[in-house]
This record gives sequence, structure tokens and C-alpha cells, in this order.
Amino acid sequence: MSRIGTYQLFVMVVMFHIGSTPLFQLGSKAKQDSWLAVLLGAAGGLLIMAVFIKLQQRKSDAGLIALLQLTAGRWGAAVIGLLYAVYFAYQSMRNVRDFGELTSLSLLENNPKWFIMAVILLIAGYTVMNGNESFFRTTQLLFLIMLGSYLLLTVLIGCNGLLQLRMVRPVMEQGPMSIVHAAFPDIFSFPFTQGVIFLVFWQYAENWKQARRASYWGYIASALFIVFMNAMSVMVLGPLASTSSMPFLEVVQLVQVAEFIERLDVVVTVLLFIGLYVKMTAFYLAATIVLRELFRIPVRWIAAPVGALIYAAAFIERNNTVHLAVGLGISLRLSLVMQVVIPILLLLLALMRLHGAKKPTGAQAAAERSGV
Amino acid sequence: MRNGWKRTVCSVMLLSLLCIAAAGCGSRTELNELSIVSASGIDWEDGKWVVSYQLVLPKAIANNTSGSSSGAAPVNVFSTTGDTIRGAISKASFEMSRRLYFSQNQIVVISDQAAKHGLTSLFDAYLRNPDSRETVSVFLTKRSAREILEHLIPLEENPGAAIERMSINEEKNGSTLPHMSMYNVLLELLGPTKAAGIASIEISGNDPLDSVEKMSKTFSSSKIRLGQLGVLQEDKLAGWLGRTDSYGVMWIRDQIRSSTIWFSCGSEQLAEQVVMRVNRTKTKLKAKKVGDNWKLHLQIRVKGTLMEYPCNSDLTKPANVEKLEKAAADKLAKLVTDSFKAVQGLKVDILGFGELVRLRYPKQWNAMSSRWNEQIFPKTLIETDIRVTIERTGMSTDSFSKMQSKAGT
Repeated sequence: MSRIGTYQLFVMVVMFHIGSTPLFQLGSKAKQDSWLAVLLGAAGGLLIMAVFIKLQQRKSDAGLIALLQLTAGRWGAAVIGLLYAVYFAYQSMRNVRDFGELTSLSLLENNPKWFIMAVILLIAGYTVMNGNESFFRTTQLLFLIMLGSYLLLTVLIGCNGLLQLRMVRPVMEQGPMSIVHAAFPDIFSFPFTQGVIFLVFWQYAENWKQARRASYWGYIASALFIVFMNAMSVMVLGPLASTSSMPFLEVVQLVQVAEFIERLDVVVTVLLFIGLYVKMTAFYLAATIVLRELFRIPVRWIAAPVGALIYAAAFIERNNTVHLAVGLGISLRLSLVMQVVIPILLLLLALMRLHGAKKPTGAQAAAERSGV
Repeated sequence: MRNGWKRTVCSVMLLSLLCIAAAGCGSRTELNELSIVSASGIDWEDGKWVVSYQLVLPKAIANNTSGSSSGAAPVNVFSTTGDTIRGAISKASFEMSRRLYFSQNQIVVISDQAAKHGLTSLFDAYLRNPDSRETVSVFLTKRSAREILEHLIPLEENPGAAIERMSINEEKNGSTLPHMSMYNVLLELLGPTKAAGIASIEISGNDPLDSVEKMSKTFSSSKIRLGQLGVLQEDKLAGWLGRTDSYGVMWIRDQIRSSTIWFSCGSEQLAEQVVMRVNRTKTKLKAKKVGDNWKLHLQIRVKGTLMEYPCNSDLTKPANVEKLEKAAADKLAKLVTDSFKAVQGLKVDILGFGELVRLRYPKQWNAMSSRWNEQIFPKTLIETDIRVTIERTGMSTDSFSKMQSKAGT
């Protein structure tokens, strides 16, 4: 596996966090204050990002399993590592299904979903086979397309006079608690602590110190972007935002400039495709990298079975309603175990050991360190 | 080398396979399999929805001349009936050789019967289906919606699009009736007071212009025109406002974009009318609590130019212009106060007053929001603060009659 440049890492952090978020109205529980809820969730996520970075800090070139071994021991690392692989594959499956649902709803209404999902998963599988270098480079390319398109759409929406500030007023109508409830655990869990995946990718960073900074800035940039998009949806759609199943698509459908620039929903669909592709592939790749580290077998042998599993699992949920209910319900909360609880426990354990290691005599400490 | 050759063949095959998939031919739609709907109408008759469609005939539009010269009518209208709106639409396949294509639908006309019955299912159909867009313009009518769709408009090939342009034009240049898209209607109905005003379309004359033959004359026996303002509460029609009241509502809601107002010269000559074009105007609303009651404070600032001045005063004197400004302000104050009372009479707050109260007094609003339209809003007060500035008096100063009398002496 080859090294990843700092800029590439920054782009990946941004693209990964943005992912498919414009697909959902995050924090719709807080109504017109949803952007505040997203901001709060993002602030919480920043703390957890610091935890991830601290964990990687202990050994910057170590993969997830190696990091786990530092604190959890050999067998503990294997069990938790396997859990992470399952979690990554599961998240990848969610994105594959999202992709299928989005395409069926907006672009290819008559095509079977199994076909759409097979095509996108084949593309993702091909990327995974080629390893992280081609994935990061692809993302870099897609980043420019995404940046340009979002800029264009934002300008058009602004020019169209669709933004109405009064839609986000009154601020905090239902008091600050509703914002907190909307932010935690939902927004905190999706997308802001999913950055746990970078514990798998950071080992390939060319320069850890710069990578660390790129990760922080990438995270902040994407968080601000998500807050902005959220506020924009509310400003355009007002009370419609929370009931729309694809608020951003709805917003862009309203754009009509000079009687010929309209029906830009295809642009949005492509943007969402890009986001979903990046996220799905990132999780898929992370699952294979963890399994490779765990079982020491080449990626080639892992990618296909993992892909097949993801594909099969994408059919389990009966319909889109179930898919969304699971995704925005139980899945958010269970993911928190992998995204927040385990990393914090690991860090606490590591801190306790470090703290404990200072007191004993040199020989004991050395013995303990070798035991670790 | 052999290996490399195999690889090339494989990737070419894979690529071509991907091309088929990526082109998305499975969901293709051919233009000649579609019939493009340019306007649709919703009626409610005998407990069933009647949906009418105005289909554009591609041939008539492709012809660069207007519909009349090609011999065939540029559109074709038909209806289907059903218990639900979408159900009625799906029955269209019994009588159509092509699939109905709604993405180009420009207007939806709703009959007052349908609007009185309730429009929840229409709104739901618009929000749920990606092919029906929220940018479509919405109109009410006191006739059946189908009659409106059957009516041709001179100079235009596509009556649906023409009605939409007519409404946009009116809002831009006259600002008496609002141009409402489905999106605006939904936003207003979801707002704090759950009310919206929608313009209506009427047919003037007794002989509707429904065939090309009737268009061969230089004048039309009847015309499509904008009518009154229908007021919707929740999802039902609650009442109508006449044009004057609707105009006042537009002033209160700060939706005047360009308009003309007229008023009398002053106390001595009531009959003669001065006309002023409104160049810029800004309305600021404020909700105030007065004891147990609420008051809408209305501040309007208008800048305008004189267009007609048949009176005698000397307009080179600032004092006389000030008098005119005062007269204009009084006229506007009467207009908005009357409209305010008319809206109060309907017991439906389409003015955005409730929203102002909600913004400034959120706690009180939550306690009374359900009673607002019925009980509180009809008793509220209005206070106006209107200032008109006549920026210019036009290219001449004296009125023509004054010039004549000067020339006589």
C-alpha cells in the first residue's frame, strides 16, 4: 500500500464527512433550529476527532489492529478488530442501499434495484482491489467536481431569491434543550463521529504531523459546510424541510433562472452519487484493510467475499421505510459504541497505563511496556 | 504479451457492458411515447375528483406561426374521473395512446368546489411524486377548471404557459394579485396561521374561445383574465377578496413591485384624479400588544412619479406637492385599513400578522395560536404610518387645462 499525501487526506476527510448528508435533513427534530443542532453535534464530534487523533498519536504508522494491540492485548484486539470490520461493512451496506433507493426514486424509476446496486458495488469493489492509492486519487478528482457543483447550485439558489431568513426564526423557539436532543445522539453519530474510519487510513499518511492538522481542518471545513447546507435547506423550504425525504433535491427543484436554467435535480443526484460512492468505498476498503491486517491475507482474497456480503445484506431490509427507520434509529445508537465508546475506553485505558507506568521502578515499567 | 492481449479484450468487454448500464436505457422515455401536459385542472363533482389535462400538440407548436393558421387547435383537453387524484390520472391510460408527462405542467387550476372540499390529497400528490413539480403555478376558478383549460388565448400557442406568464406579468407590473406557485402555497399553509391567498381565473363573455375558428376574427368573443383572490384556510377555500382588497393585502404584505395609484387632487376637487406610478415602496410590519388586544403597526414608505395631473395647483411650489403627497398617503391608509377589515371579516390571517406575533411574543403565541384566526385576529387593530414622496412630477408642471387658461389670457 502506498503513502497518502497531506492534501489527499484533507480531501478525503472532507468528502467522507459530507458524503450523503445533503440527502437527509439532519436535526429536523429541532425544526428551524436544525442548523444549530448540527453545529452542536459537530462541536461534539470535534472532541471525538481529537480522541481518534490521540489514539493514532501513540504509534502513527500503526494500523487499527496494531493500535488495538497496544492496549487491548492480542486477543482483545482480534475481537474488537473483527467487530470494527463488521461495523465498516455494515456502514458500507447502508450506503449501497441508500444509493439504490436514491436512484430508484429520482433517476431510474423502472430499473431493478438489484441491478443498480450491483453496478455501484462492482465499481466500489474495483476501487478496493486497486488499493487505497487509487481510491484517494479518485476522491481527489471527484472533490473538484463536487466543489464546483455545490458552489454553482448555491449561487443559483441565492440568485433566485429563494433564501428567506425569516424561515430560521425565531431562534431557539422551543428552548435550548430541543437542540441538544436533536444533536445527541443522532447528529453526533451520523456523520460527525464516523471519522473513526481514519484510524484505518492514517497509517498510510506520508507525514503524520501534517496529516493530523489536515484531519482537523478537513473536519472543521466539512462541518461548516454541512451546517451551511442545512441552514440553506431550512431557509428555502421552511416547514417543508423536515418532511421532505430529500430536502436538498427539493430545494434545487425550485431553482428557475431566466426560464431556462431549471430542473437541476440531475446535478444533485450526481453529487449525492459521488458522496455515497466515496463513503461506501471508504467503509468497504476499511473493512478489507482491517481483515487483511487481522488474517494476513492479500486484499484480493478479501475484497470479493466482503463485497458479496455487503451486497447480500443490502437486501435484508424490506423497504425504504424500514431502511430509514433502522438507519436513523437503532443503527445510529449502536454505531456510537464503535465510534465513541470503544475509542474513549481505549484512550482511558492507555492513559491509565501510561500514568501507572510512571510510578513503578524502571525494570517493572520496562516489563510492562514489553507486555503491552 | 499473450496475457496483455487477454487483458485488453477483457477490459473492452467490461467497458462496453458498463456503457449499457451507465446509459440507463432501462428507464428511457422516448418523446413520441409521451404526451406533454401544459396545464391541469382539478374539479370536484358528485363526490369524485375530475382531473383535466391540457395536452400540447407538438405539431402545432413546431409550426412557427400561431395555432390558428395551422388549422388544428394547438392543444387538446380531456378529463378523467376517480376517487383519488392520482387514481383519476392513472385512468388516463384508457383513453390515451401516450403516457402523460407532467414535468412540463405550468399551471394547476382548481375549481372552487374542489377547493371547498379540501385539497390535502392534491398537496400530498405534489409533495410525494417527483414528476409533479412544486414550481407549478396555482390558480382558483369559480367555473369548472376544465372550461379554463379549453379556452384558447390569442397570440399564444400554449394557453397553460400563457396564463402563467399573464399572472407573472400582473404581479410585476400591477401587483394586484399575487402569483403563487405550489411551493409558495404549501409554505404559507404550513406557516403559523395556515392560510394563503391564491388568484383566480375567470372567463369574461358568454362565448368561450374554444375553437380555432373563433380565433379567426380580429377580436375575441371572450377572454381569460385574472379575477379575485381566493383565501385558503388549512386546505379549504374560506372566502374571496375583491381586487381592491387584494391590492391592499399586497401593500400590507410588501409584495408591491410596481404599480399605479390614483387619488383626488385635494379637498376642493374630489372628482379629478391624480395618478402616480410607484417606483419604490417598502412596508414594515410590527406586532404590538395593547392590553389584551393586538395591534398591527404598518409603516409604508413610497416613492413615486406623477403620471396624470388634471388639477389646478402650481406644482413648482413644494407646498402643493406636499399636499399631493398627503392625499396619496391618506388614500393608501384607507386602502390598507379597508383591506385589513375585509381580511378580518373572513377570519383568516393571510397578512403574516400571526407570524409577526410568533416572532416577537413566542410564548403568548403558543398559547393562542389555535384560536388566532377564529377569535383573536378579527378583533385586532391596525395602525398606519404612511409617507409618500413624489420624487418627480414628470415632464411638465402645469396641467393641460391650466395651460389653456393661461394661454387664453
